[in-house]
Amino acid sequence: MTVYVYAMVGPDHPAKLDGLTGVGATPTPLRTVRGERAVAVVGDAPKDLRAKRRDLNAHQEVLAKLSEQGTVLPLRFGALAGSEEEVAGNLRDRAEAYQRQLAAVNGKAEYNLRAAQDEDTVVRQVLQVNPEVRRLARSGVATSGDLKDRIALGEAVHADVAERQRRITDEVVGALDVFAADRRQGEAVAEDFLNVSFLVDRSRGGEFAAEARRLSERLEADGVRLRLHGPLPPYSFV
Amino acid sequence: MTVATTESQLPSGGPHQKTDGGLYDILDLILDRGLVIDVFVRVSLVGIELLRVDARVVVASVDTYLRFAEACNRTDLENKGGVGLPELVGEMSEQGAHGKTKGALSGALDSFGDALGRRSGSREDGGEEQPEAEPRRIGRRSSRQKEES
Repeated sequence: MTVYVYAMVGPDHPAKLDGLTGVGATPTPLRTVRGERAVAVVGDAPKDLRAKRRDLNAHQEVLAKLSEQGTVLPLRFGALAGSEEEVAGNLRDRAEAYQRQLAAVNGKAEYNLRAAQDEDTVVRQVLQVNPEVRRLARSGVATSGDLKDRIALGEAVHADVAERQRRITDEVVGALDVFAADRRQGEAVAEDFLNVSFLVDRSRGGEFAAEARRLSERLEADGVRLRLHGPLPPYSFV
Repeated sequence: MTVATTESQLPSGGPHQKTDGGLYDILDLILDRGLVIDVFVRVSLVGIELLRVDARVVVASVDTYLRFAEACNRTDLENKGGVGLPELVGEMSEQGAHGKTKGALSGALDSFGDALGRRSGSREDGGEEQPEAEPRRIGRRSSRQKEES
């Protein structure tokens, strides 16, 4: 019978699964498949599994709970094994790799930080200090200019904005790196210009969040809004 | 200092948070990161990957340039009379930013919440939806906010 695989944990992880339910329209209790050096947390695979709010949330909830209990290797959403025997076989085959990976993230959590900037605020800043942009804007390009002129103006603004956001990124990442064991930069999504994950020892989580808060306050005047998520299972570091 | 207390905002009381707004924010972690075990099958996620790649492309497109040109015109009109006195301007823009940040905050939260439902809904129909030009939302929201304040 097909099983949904949530995570690998170490043999000493408590893996308390009481009250935890997984993905699917009618979630069923979870169970473990034990290997010598790693333990898999699995559940029934629902027929209607989809990357939708319900199931994504369930996946994340299970991992968050396991993560509170100890170190986990979170699996990417949607992993299905043919049977529990197949999982057990994998735990045997990959025993050393899992042990090594668990050691690498032992006692650590992921913190994901995103930043967006209010467009009017940054455009206003650019207008104040960039004479070329101001000249183009004042020449009526934006309202009556032809398409090419408007694109040229927009491109000049965009270049200046991008440079400002690059400097903000450097400042933020530099300040937070001090508290992190590892870092992984993600792709900018939608209006966010920064999307970066840090691997932080749980004992330093408070310091890390405090520094992020300080940065958030400092950058507020620039219209920058930081959003911090964490502690999370170390999705980006497995 | 206006650090908003919405749950997806940088927390002021502690680093914990679990909200749907937060779920949207970490979708790429759940879907694109995490351990992949090659002997296990992975459910098909057609559509979701598209959403993020396209959103990224939008960032440096003609559409973006035109939006900046428009924003430039809008904010320059507001600023006329203030520009040319740098020391005053700095102060003004700082005051302005506080109001705007609040506007951008709730606006972004709304669109994140909507986005998850909307996107997964249309995926159900098997459609490959076009990404919306979401970056505009912040600008629109904050200009509305400005008029109110």
